[in-house]
Amino acid sequence: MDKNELTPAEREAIESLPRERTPSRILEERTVRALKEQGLIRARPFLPSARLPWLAAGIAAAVALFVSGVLVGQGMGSRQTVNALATVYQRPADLAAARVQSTGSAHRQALAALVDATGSGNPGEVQRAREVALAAFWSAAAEIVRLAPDDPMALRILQELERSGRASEAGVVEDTTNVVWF
Amino acid sequence: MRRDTESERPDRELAGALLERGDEQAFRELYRRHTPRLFQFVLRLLGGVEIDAEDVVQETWLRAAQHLGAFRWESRFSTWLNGIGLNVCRDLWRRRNGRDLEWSATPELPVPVAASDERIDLERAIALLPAGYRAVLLLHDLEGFTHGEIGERLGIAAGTSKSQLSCARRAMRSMLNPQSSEMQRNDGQE
Repeated sequence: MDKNELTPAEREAIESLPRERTPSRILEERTVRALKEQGLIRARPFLPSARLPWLAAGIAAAVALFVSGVLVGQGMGSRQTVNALATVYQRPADLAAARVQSTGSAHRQALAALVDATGSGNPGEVQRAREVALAAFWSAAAEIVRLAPDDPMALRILQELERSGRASEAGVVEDTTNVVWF
Repeated sequence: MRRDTESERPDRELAGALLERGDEQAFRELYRRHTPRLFQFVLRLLGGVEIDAEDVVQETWLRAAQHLGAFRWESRFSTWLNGIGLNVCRDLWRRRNGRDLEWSATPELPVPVAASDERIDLERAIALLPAGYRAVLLLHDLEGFTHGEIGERLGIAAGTSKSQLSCARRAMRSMLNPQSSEMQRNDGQE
C-alpha cells in the first residue's frame, strides 16, 4: 500500500468528522435581506388568493360592526343630550315640586308624630311646635294663594288664618320670632 | 444527508418557486435544508474562521439565486451549491493574498501549536494546513471528489491535485503525530 494512502484509522477519523453545522439564525435573515435587496426574493403576497373571499367578508363584517356601533353611539349620545338639556331647563320647577312633595310629607309625618307623643313630652316644646306648625301652615297658605290666586280653598284658609291671627297678632308675631327654622 | 422526504418539497420545486415568483418561503426552505452542510464545508476550507464562513455562505446563496436558471439539475443541488461556495472561498483568498491558492509542492508548513510529544485533533490539524493542501484534502478525502473533478473545480491539472493531496496528508500526519513523523524523517535520512 502506498504510504501516502490513508490508513483505515485515518479514513475512519476523517469520515467521522461532522458534515453539518448550523450557523446563527442571524445569517438566514441577513441572507434573505441581501436577496431582497437584489430583487431575487420578492415581498410576500399580502394573502394567497384562496383566502381573498374570507378577507373581504371579514373586512365587510368589521366595517358593518363599526358603522352600526357609530350609529348606536350617536343615537344614544343625542338622546342623552336631549335629556340632559331638558333636565337643565326644567330643573328649577322640577326641583321645587320634588322638594314640596318630600318636605310636605315630612311635615305631615312630624305633626302626626307630635300628636301621638303629646302627652309624654315637655308641654312647652309641644306648644312651640304647634305654633311653628301654624306659622308654617299660614305661610304655606299664602304661597299657595300666590301660586294659584283663583283657588277658593287656599284663599279661604288664608283669610281664616289671618282673621284669627289678627286677634292674637302680637302674640303670634312674638312667638314666631322665637321659632327656629330648619 | 439526504432530506428530501415525502413531506418535503423537492429542491427543484422550491428552486422553481424562487426563480419564478421570488418566493421567500421556498428560499428559506432551501436555505435551511442545505446551509448546515455548506457552512461546515466552507468553514473547514477557511480554516475555521466563522465570520469569513458566514460571509461566504451569504455570497454563495446570492450567486446561487442569481444563476439558478442556468442550473441543469444534472447533479445534486447541494453539490452545485458547495461548488459555488468553493469559488467564493477562492475569491476571498485572492482578495486577501492578492493571488489564488498556492500549489507549491513545499509550502511553508505551520508550526504545530501543541508540544512535540502531544497530539492535536484532526479538525485542528486540517485547519492548520496551507489553504491549497486543505482544499484538496477536503475535496478528495471528505467530499469524495476524484482528482479529475478537483482539477476542474480548482483550475489545476489532475496530477497537481494528486501531488497536493500527498503533501497534505503528510503534513497532516506530522501535526497529528509529531514523534512518528520525526522517526520517519530520520529513517529516510539514513
